[in-house]
This record gives sequence, C-alpha cells and structure tokens, in this order.
Amino acid sequence: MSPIRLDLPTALRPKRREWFNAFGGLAIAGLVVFVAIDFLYGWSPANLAGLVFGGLATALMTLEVLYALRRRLLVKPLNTGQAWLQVHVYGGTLAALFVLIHIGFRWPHGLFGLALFLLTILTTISGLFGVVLQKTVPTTLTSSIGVEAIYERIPDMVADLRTQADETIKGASDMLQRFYGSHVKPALAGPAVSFAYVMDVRSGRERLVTDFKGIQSFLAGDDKTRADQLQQLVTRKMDLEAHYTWQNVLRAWLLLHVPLAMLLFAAILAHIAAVWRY
Amino acid sequence: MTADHEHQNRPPQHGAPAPPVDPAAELARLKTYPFLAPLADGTLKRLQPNMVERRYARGETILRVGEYSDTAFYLKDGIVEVRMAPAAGAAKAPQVVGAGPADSGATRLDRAAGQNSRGGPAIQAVQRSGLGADGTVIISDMSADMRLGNSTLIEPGELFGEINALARYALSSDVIAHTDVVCLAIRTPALRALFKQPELAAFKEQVDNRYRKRTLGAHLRQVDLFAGLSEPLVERLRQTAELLSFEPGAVIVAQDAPADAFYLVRGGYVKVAVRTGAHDLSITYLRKGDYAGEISLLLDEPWPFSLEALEYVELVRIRREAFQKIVESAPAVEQRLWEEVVLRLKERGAAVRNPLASQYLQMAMDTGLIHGESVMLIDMNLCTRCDDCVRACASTHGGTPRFIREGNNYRHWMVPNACYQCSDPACLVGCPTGAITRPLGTREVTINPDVCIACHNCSRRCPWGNIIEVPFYSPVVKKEVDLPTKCDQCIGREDGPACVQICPHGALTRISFKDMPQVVRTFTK
Repeated sequence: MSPIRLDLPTALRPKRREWFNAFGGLAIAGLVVFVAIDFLYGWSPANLAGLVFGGLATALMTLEVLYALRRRLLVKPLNTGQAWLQVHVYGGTLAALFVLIHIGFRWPHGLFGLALFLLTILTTISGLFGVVLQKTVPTTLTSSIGVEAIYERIPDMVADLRTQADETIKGASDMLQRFYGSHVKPALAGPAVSFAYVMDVRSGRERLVTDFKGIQSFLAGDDKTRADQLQQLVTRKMDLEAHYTWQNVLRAWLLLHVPLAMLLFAAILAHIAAVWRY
Repeated sequence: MTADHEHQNRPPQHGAPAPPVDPAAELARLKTYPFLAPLADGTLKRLQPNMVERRYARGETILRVGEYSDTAFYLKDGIVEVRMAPAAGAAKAPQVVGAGPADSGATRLDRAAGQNSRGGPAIQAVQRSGLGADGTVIISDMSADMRLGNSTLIEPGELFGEINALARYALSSDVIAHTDVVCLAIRTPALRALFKQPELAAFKEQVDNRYRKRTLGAHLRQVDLFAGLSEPLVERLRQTAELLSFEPGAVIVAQDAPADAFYLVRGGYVKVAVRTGAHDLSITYLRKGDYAGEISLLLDEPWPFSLEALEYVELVRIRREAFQKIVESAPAVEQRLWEEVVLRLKERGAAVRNPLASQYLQMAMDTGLIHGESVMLIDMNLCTRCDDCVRACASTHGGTPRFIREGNNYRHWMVPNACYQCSDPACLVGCPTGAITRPLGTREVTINPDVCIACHNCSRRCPWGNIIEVPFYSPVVKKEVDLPTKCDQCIGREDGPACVQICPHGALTRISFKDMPQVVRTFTK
C-alpha cells in the first residue's frame, strides 16, 4: 500500500528559511508587545495597541487577497510568484495571530465576533492544509506513479487507452473476449475521482494482477500477448486515474479555502464599517 | 532607405534549381564539374540526391549573415560577392580582382584584406560578435582577415559555405550573387561523403588549405588559450595544424594511447571518458572551442582518458612538436595549460570517486541535452501541476503558450517540450524566409511570424520536437495556418522568462548544459 504520506515534518519545514525567520520574528515581536501592554495596562481590542494589531491583520489580509489578483496578472513582472506565495502563507498565518492578539486571546463577544473569529481560524487552517497538500502530494505523485499527465488531457488519454484496448481485443478467443467485457472494459471506464486513490495511490493493482494471472492460465498463443498488453493498458489507466484524483484534490481544496477567505474578507470589511459607524 | 537596407530587409532567395532532367543527364551534368570528375558513377549516383545545381540572378542572396546553413556551394559560373558583417557606415565597393587558377580565391581574399594585423578591426569585430552572451564561442566561418564592412569576390572553381555546413557556424557574412550565378549546392551529408573519397583527396586538401589560410588563425585566436599568441606562432600553427573529421561513435583517442598531439574542437561534440571496470565513465564533453591533450603532453604521460565523437566532429590536431614550441615560446599559455591540467585531473578524480554524478552527464549526452544553452527543468517534487507557468507563457505571448508541460523525466526532474536554445540550432538551417533567427552574440532563437510562411522546415529539423505549431493568421500568406512557435525566453521581458518568474513553488528553473557541475548539482538536489 502506498498511501499519500502527510509527512508533517517535511511539510512544515520552511522552503525558504529567511522568510520563516522574518515572519517568526514579527510574530514573536507581536506577542512580546501584547504581553507587555496587557501586563502594564490591560488589553482591549479598542485601545490603541488593539486597533494597531487589528489594522495590521487587515493589511495582511488585504495582501492575501491581492495574491489571487496577482495570479491573474501573470504577464506583469511584479516580483516572483514564489515571493508572493511566501508572503501569502506567512502573511496569512501572521494575520491570524494578529487577530488573536487583537482580541486579546479571549473568546469573542457576540455572534458576528464569533463568526469573524471562526472564519479567521477556518481560513487559516484550510490554507495550512493546502500548504501541507502542496508540499506532500507532488512528491508522492512523482515517486509512486509511473506517468505524468496534464490534468485536462487525462480524459482524452484514457479514451485513447480504450481505443487501443478495443484494437487489441480484435480477433481474440471467446474466453478473453468475455474477460475483456467483464473486467477490462469496466476498468478502462472513466477517469473518475476515486477515494480509493486518496487512501492508497496504487490502489487496485494487486487485484488487477490477480485477475490477469487468473485468466492467463486459460489462454494460449496470441491471447497471452493480448492479455499482457491489456494489463499494461489497465495499469496505465490506473496511473492516470490516480493522477486525476490527486490533481483534483490539489485543486479542490481551493474550493474550501477561497470561499472561506472571501467570506472572511467581506466580514472584516463589515466589522471595520461597524466599528467606524458605531 | 539605402540599397543596403533594402537588401537586408528582403528575404533571401534560394535560387532556382535547374529544371528536372533524367538521371543519366543529371549524372552527366554533375560530371561536368571538374572536381567531381574522378568519382565513379555509382558514387555520384549515391550522392546526387544531396547535390543540386542552382542558379541565382544578379543581386540574389545566397547566404545571409547570422544564418545557419547545411549547404556548401561550388561556384561553377559567375561571380559571388562576400560581404563582411556590416560595419558602421556604408560598405565599400567590392574589390574586383582578376581571374586566376582555381585556388586563387583564397589568395585574392587575403590580398583584398591587405596586411591585417592581430588587432585589426575585422578580428576585433569577429571576436566581439563571436562571443555569445554567456561566453559561448561562436566562431566565424568566413575569413577573419576580411576587413569589416569590406566585400570581396569569389570566382568559379571555388567552394564557399563549407565551414558553416560542416561545423554549424553562424554565417558571418552575406553572400550575394554579383553576376548571374550557377553553382552546385552540396548538402552536408554529401559534403562529408565527398571529403572521404580517396579520389578527391586533392580537392579536400585544397579546401583544408583554404580553411587553414583564411580562418584557422582567427579560430585559434578565439580560443582563450591562444588569444595572446604572437603572429609568428599563429603562423606556425596554421602551417602545421591538421584538420580531421570523425563520424559519430568514432574513437578519436584511446585511453592510455601515447601522447602525440593536442586537439582543438572545430565543430561537434566529443565525449571525454575514463575506463572503470568494464565500462567507460563519462567525465565531461568538449564542444566548439574546447581542447584536449594538454595533460598528456605536459606530463609526458599516456592519455588519461579517451575521446569519442558523439556526432560528426571536426578537429584541429596540433602535433607534439608544434605544441611544445608554443609552450616554450609562450609562458602564459603554458601557465594556463597547467591550470587546465589541474582542473581536468580534479574532474577526472571527482568522476571516478562519484560515478553516480556521471549518469547525468551520460544522460545529457544520450538525449542531446548537451546542446542546450537554456534548458527548462521542472522539479516535479515541488510542482503542484497548477500550470501557472503555462498561463504566464500564454499571457506573455498573446494567448498562445510556447511550451507544453510534458516531456521526459529524469529522477524527479522533467525536461518539458520547451526550446533548449541549442548552441548549434538545427532549426535555423534552411529557413527560406529568414523568419527564424538568432542574432549573433545572443542565446535566444526567435521566429518572426510576420515573415514566416509556415513551411515547417524548422519544426521538422528540431531534433527534440520543441517547435510547436499553432493556428495563426499569417500576414504573409493571408490565411490561417499552423505557424511554428517556440519558446523565446520572453525576449525583451525585463525579469526574464515569465514561466520561471511566476512559478509559486520555485519548481521551474533554466540551466545551461554547458555548465555540467551546475547540472549535476541541480539533478542531485
């Protein structure tokens, strides 16, 4: 079994140490300021320090939103994509910390405050989940699957495998034809996102080998070669489907993160407007 | 607009081939060329598909500066003008010289050049234009003794363009029909075959002598090692150097062979390997402008490694005695060679100690990546397949990406189907309109869609399939055609290639396979 390993130590190891150090330093500085002010004067989101941290969190979250815009302005030479992503990840985490400092690490009052707080936490967690996925899945795809495919082309590639299989089975014995209809054809359907590949990227291989081994003992001559070729085609299809599934996962987490982030940003604007108004 | 400008902006014409005739008549026509007369009919028949008689009207461009060509031309009738790369100011009128024996062209070229000195403007210009943006040596194919902006004439009985065709040098001159011209276009395979015919030994010697006389001096001076040699030493080298050709796979020097010569690569790629057990372990490779043999000669020991031709290779061999004369007379050269010896021996030691690193070199040689000046690599352990690189490429190029994120994988690195920006771009050879170009001294090969006629010559020639065809409205043929497009490294974009800049995970990089230590560092990362 080759499950996708969520190797947390690897995933959490900073890709760029200098970014980690810089943002870590800012986080520590923020905490020190909070502890000092809380100790000396007491903390309130409405006092100057509380407002400053709230403002910083808002500024960072605005920067987070700009990352999405940056990805739509690919042609513009506005620093590297990697620098933007680093700011997005570290800035987002720091923004969540500043929100916590802003509210003085206390449970928020009121339904709106609670919603704001939960959105901040969920957005940050979903973002960090994405970081873990992005740092873990590519390695597993590269090391465990024998093919590399462009996501949009996978359905066509699988269709091509079906055509090849249909060609291969021409002129085969009844025995192999029946096996083709009952085992191979269904196995070449799709591609479909399968939870089995999420649990084990090489899911279904053992069963495939067993099925083909079983039929091989009843075949002779050209049919043996045909069965070998069909097995290769089905194996390749499984590789493609595993790729398809995991590339879907790499895209799908954004369906969680982006709406949460948009809601959060809207809520922050509403929060600022409410504070300003009342 | 001056006549010169008009000439430069006009696509080159490729000359009208003579109307088709029956094979016997074609054979008879080839036999009218005096230099082919000694060949047997069978040999001529075999070579005939790669030799065609062409006619050019007065003023037509036969070869254009900066282009790569796979054709040499034997001038049968008429006069051809060679114009050195344009200098500031107008070119001088061609210097007409009288007729003479077949070999007199080289002499005339030299006379036209006058007594050129080492520091003359022509050589300086060749050196300037010959040094690529990243230090790649691009050696001139024409006489460096020609003064910049000058032109000279070639008369019947001469061969031109052969150095370019054999060693894939960018043309340093325009070659234009000065009168109506008839010549025999000889493509590289036929040219190589001709040079191997014993019956044509005299012809080969004549061509070699012309190269030795016209170009070798400049060639030697463009090699850092010999750049500072005095004129008499260069002259001695010119007289004693031998010109050798090797077929792919040929062993040039076997390991442990006696030290007898110094080799300078004129064209092609040479594998340097050391025997370890039953196998050869690749240490490095040599390319145009590189050299080998100094270790054995200086240490007076047998060759510590072997040299093998990876493709057609053209070499200059300097015998031991001549080499020693240089070393004795030029302490700076000797010093430089000793430094090189230390480096080479260190490389050899490192390869033997760490044979795994050698696999990447071998892979680069097996796959042709050694040609790549700027090869795109994607670290698939970092790539999240988001395709931002492809989108950035498309955004930079009017909506059409110039590469496909597909290709061969080596370990966790993918080499996508993006132009390698080869040292010797095969795609540049034979473009009928000059649409695909690489300006001298630059690395980027670009296609001008305003001139391209979608003949697909370049995409067919690219050995790596890195020129892709996309539907495009061609202003030349005035309809939608599949126009070849390729990565141009976002030429003109301030921050370099958009694909590299935009990758959010830093998975994409570009490296030159000329820098093997960097390649090994990258692949073992």
